[in-house]
Amino acid sequence: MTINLQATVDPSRTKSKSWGSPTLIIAVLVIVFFVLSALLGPWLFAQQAGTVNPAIGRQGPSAAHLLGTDQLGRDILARTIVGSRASLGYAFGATALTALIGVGLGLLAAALGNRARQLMFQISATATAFPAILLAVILATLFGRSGTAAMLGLAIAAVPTTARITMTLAVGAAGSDQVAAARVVGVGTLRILLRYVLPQISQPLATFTILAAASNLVALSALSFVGLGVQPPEWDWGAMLNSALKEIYTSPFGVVGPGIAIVLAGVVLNIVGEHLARLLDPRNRGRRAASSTPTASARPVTDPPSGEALRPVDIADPVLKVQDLRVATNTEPHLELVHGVEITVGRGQRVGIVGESGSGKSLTLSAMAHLMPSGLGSTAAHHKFNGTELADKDARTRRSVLGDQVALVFQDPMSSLNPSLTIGSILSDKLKAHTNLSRSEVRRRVIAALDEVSIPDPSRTVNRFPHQLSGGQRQRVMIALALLGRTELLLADEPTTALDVSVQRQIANLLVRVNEERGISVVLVSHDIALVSEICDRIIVMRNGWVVEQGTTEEVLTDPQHPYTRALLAALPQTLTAVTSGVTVDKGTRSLA
Amino acid sequence: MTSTNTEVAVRGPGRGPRNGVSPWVPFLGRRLASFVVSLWMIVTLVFFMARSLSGDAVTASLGLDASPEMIAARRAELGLDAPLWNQYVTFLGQLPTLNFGESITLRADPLQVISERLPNTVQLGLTAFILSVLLAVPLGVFVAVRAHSRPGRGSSVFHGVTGFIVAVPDFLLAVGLITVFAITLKWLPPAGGSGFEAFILPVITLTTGITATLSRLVATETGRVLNEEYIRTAQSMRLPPAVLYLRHVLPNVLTSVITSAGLILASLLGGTLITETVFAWPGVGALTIDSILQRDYPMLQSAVAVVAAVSLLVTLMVDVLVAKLDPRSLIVKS
Amino acid sequence: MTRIEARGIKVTYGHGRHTVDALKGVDIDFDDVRSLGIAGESGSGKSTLAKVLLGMVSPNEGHVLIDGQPMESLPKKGPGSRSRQVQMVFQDPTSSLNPRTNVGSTLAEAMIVNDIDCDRSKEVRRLLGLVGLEDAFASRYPYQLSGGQKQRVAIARALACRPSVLVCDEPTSALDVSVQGAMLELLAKVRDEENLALAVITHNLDVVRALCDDVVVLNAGDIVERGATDGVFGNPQHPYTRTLLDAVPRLRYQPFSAQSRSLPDALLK
Repeated sequence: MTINLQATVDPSRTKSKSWGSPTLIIAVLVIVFFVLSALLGPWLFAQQAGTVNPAIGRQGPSAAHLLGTDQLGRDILARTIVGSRASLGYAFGATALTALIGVGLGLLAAALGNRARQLMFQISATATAFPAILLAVILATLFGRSGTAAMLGLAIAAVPTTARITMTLAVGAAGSDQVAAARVVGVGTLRILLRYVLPQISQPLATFTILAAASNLVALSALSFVGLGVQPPEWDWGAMLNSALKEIYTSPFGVVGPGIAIVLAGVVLNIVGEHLARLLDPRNRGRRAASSTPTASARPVTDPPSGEALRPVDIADPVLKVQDLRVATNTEPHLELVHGVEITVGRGQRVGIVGESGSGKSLTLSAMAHLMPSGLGSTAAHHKFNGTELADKDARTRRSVLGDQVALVFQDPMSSLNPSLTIGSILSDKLKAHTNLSRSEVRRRVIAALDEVSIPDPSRTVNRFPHQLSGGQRQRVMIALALLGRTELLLADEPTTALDVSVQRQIANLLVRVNEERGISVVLVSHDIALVSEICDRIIVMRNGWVVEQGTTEEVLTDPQHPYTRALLAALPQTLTAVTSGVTVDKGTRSLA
Repeated sequence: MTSTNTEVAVRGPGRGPRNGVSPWVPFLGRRLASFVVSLWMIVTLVFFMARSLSGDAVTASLGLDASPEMIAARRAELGLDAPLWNQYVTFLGQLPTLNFGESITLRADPLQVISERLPNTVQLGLTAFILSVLLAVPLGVFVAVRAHSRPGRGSSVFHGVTGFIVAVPDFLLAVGLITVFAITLKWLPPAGGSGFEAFILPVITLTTGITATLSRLVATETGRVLNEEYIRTAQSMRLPPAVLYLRHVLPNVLTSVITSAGLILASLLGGTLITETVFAWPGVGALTIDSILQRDYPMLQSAVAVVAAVSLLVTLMVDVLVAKLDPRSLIVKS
Repeated sequence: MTRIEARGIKVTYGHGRHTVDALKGVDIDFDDVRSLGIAGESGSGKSTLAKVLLGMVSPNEGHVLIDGQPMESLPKKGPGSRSRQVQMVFQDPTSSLNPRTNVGSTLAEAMIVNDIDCDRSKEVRRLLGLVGLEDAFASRYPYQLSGGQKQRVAIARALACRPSVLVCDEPTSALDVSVQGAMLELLAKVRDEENLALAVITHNLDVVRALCDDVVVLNAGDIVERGATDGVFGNPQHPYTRTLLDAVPRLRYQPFSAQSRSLPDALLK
C-alpha cells in the first residue's frame, strides 16, 4: 500500500536540516551505486548472471556466490545487479514520462482557465478514487505484456494526479503576490512564467517526482511479480521475486537479493525526497537565513539598561512579581532571548509592555503565564503569583495555582478559538476543569460572561462555531473566557492589532471596563505606544530582550530617560506630524534601516 | 509536500439553509453527478480497452487450432462483429440491468462470480483497514505529542521505521511473512489455505503497510494542530491533559485525516490485488488479475465496474462524512 | 503632470447569489493633488480601489482615464503604457519581491520590461541612493534584508518604471514602529524629488496626516467624505469620519520635546 507521496512528508521536522547530514550523504551514495549498477551492471556481470549450472542450484550464500544461487544455479547477486537496469530503468522512465506529460497538461490547464481546470479536477478525482495499480494493470495489458508496457501503464495512470498537482501549484503561484507585483511593474506573461511561476513550482514538483520514482519502482516490481511486467528472457527484481517465491520451500534465501534491492532503493529515494522537501520549504529557508545572520539578541547590546530609566517599583502585595526572568531556546544552539527581566504588577493595575518585533515582549508575557511555546523554556529567580512562589514547583502544582486565575488573550482572533468546538463548549470547558458546578450553573455563567462582554444574543451564540463570529466578537469571547473563574490577572498579547480601528477602540474600552469593574489586573503587550498610553497606568519598554525603561505613563512619555525610548517616541507618525508642522528637525546623521 | 486535503475541494453545506433550501441538496446533487460521471468515464475506458483484448480472448478460449470459421462464429455469438460504436451503445444499454455478458473462460455470469468473491475481498480489506485505524491513530497522536513537548530522538525513530515499512512493497512483505511464519516457523499455513488461520498473514501484510502510512499522516496532522493558536488557548485554560487531547486536539486531527484515510479505503479494493494473488485468497483482486491474464474481457469489465463503483461510493461517503463533521463550509477552489 | 481620473467606479465580486459590492460608485481625481490619502478600514474597498487604479481589476462600471485616455486603450509597453504612468508599492514587501533574484536584477527587470533606455547599473545605483540604500545592496537577496530595507527596494522598483503616480498600499503597516517614521519621510522626499503624485491607502490616519494634503474617506464601498486633510480631520462632517477619528489611539501625554530627531546608528536595526 504505497500512498506515501504527499501527506507523509512533514517539512517542520527539524532533524537533519543541512545538506551535510550523514543520512542524506549515505542515501545519495547508495543512489549513485544503483545508477552505476544499472548502467554498467549488464556489461560487467551479464555472463555471470546468465551462467546456468543446475548442479549448484538452490544453494545458500557461499564464498563463490554471496547471495546464493537460484534454481538454475545462476548467481543471485549478479542477477540482482544486472536486473537493476530493468527495474530502475523502467521505474525512472515511467516517472520521467509522467513528469513530462503531467506537468505539461497541468500547466496547460492552469493557463486555459476555469473550464479546463474543472475538467482536470473531475478527471483526477476519478483517477484518485480508482485504485491506481488496477488502472496501471489495465493500461499495461492494453499495450501488451512487457516491461515497456508496464512502464507506459504506470506512467499514464499517474498523469491525472501529477497534472492536478501541477495545476494547483501553478495557479497558486500565478496568484501569488510576487506575480501580482510583477504584473504591476509591467512584466509580460512569458517572463512571469519563466522567472516567477516555474521556479516556484519546480521545487515541490521535484520532491513529488522523486517520491513518485520510489513509488513507481515498487509498483513496477509488483507488476512483474504477478507476471504483467517484464517478460522472459528479460528480468527485473519483481520477476526474480516471482521465481523465488516458487522455490520458497526449498531455497527461501532466494528472496534476499531482489528484496533488499527493492527496499533499499525505495528507502533512499524516499530519504532524498523528504530531505529535498524539508530543505526547499520556504519556512526553513527563512529559518536558515535567520540563523546565519546574527539575531537581535545575539548581538552585543551596547547600552545596558541604566538605572534612571528603570524606575524601581515598590508595590506591597503585588498580584504578580517576576525577578530575573530569562527565556532561552531548549535545543541547540541555546540562545537567550529575554535577559533578566523584572516585572511587578499590582492589584487592579493596568501595565503596558511596549516594544518592537524582537524585543521579547511576547515571550516575557508567555513566561509570566508559564505557557512557553514548544522549543523555548523560561527560568526566573522569583516568580510569585499572589504571594505563592512558583519557580520551584512542578507543572501540576503550577496548573492548580495558576489554574483559572490567570487568563490570556492572543493577537489573532481568527485562530485562537478551536474551530471544531462551539463557543459554549470552549467556555464551559474552563469552568468544568476548575470548578464543580452543575451543568445548568455552568451554562448560566457562560451566558452571563458573554453578556458582560456585550456579545449580542448570548444564549444563541453559545451554540455557534467560531467561524460564524467576526474578529471583534471572537476577541470578546476570549475576554469572556478571562471573566470565567476566579481570574485576577489578564495577560493580553497584542489583542487589538489584528482588528479594525473602530473595533480596536471597543476592545480597548472593554479591557478597561473589565479592569475597573472586576478589579482584574491587566498586562497589555503592544507595539502601539499610543494605545498603551491611553489604557495603562504604567509602561515598560523592552528592546532586544531587555527592559530598558519603566515608569508611570506620564513619566515615560514626558520624561523618557533611555535613548531608545526617546527615539521610539520621536519616530511615531504622530510626532512626525508635529515635526513637519514647524518644529525644527535635525536632518544630520541619519542611518536608515 | 502538504497533506492531500488541500486538493480535496468540496463545497460543504455549512450550517443552516439558504433561501429555504437545505444546503445539503446542491451539495449532494453535485457529488452524485460527479459520481455518475466518474463511473461512466471508467466504464467507457475499460470497454474500449477490453475490446482491444477481445480478439485474443476468443482465440485463447477456443485454442490455437480453431478454424477461422469457428472464430468468426464465436465472435458473432459474442456480438463482436458489430461496429464498435454499436457495441458500445449495446453495452451501455445492458448496464442498468447489470447484464455484463458471459465470462469467456468460466462460462458463467460474471456478476455472480464477482458476488461470490467480493465478500472475501471486503473481509480482508475492511479488517485490515479497521485494525490499521485502531493502531495508527493512537500511535500517530502519541508520537506527535511527545515530539511536541520533548523534541528529540523518539520522533526520528518513528519516522525512520515507518519510512522503511512504507518502502517495502506489499508482495515483498507477504513473501517475507510466508518465509518466516509458514516455512521456517511453520506456525501458520502458507498460501492457498482457508479458514481463520489462512486469514492472518494476508491481514497482517495489508495492515502493516496501511498503519505505517496512516500513522505518519496522523503524526503530521497532530503536529500541525498542536502548533495552532487555539491549542495555546486551551493550554492557557489549564485543562486536564485528557480533555485537551481528546476534545480539543483530536477532532481537528480527524477531520483532516478522514479524507486521506477515506482515499486509502477506497483504493483498498484494488490494493488487495497483489496480496490476494500471493496468498491465493479468493477475492475480486485475484479475479481481476486472472481475467487479464486470460483475456476474459467480460469478466474484466464487470470486475472493474464493480471495483470502480465501490471505490467511488466509498469516496462519496467520505466526502459526506467530512462535510458533516467539519463545522466550517469548505470553499470550492477553481 | 499626469492626470488620473476614476469616474463612477463600481466593482462587484462573486457571482450568482453571493455577491459583494466592493465599490459602489466612486470618483477620484488626481489633477492638482500631490498627495491623496485613501482612508478606510478593512472591507471599505480601499484595496479594490488601488487595484482599479493600477489596472489589476476592471471595474464593472465606470472607467479610469489617464490623461484623458481610457486605461484599456493604453499601449502595453513603452512611454505611454500604464506601467510607465502608475506604479504601486505593496503592503508586504516580503511577498512582493522575487526571492530568487537579487536587488539589482529586480530593479533592472523593471527597466527592461518598460523599455527604459539607460545605463542600467548606473540607474540601479541612482535608485538605491534615492531610497537611502548603499550600492552594496544591489547584490543582496531579499532574505538578507530587513523589512524596512525590502520596502525601500520595492519603492525603488516602482520608481524604476519612471511613473507619475505612485500608489502605496499600507506602506508602514508591516514595519516596526521605529522604522515607520523614516519610511514616511522617505516617501515625502521621493514625492518631492521625483515630482510624483502619491496615493496612500491606509487605515492609519496618522499616516494620512503626515503624508497627504488631501484625503477621501471610504466606508463600505462609498466615499463618505473628502477634502483637505486638515479640514476633514479638524472638522469631520460625516459620522463615520468622526467615529474613525475617535477610534484612533492618541498619546495620553504630549511626548517630550520632539526636537532632537537625529537617531543614533546603534539604536536602529
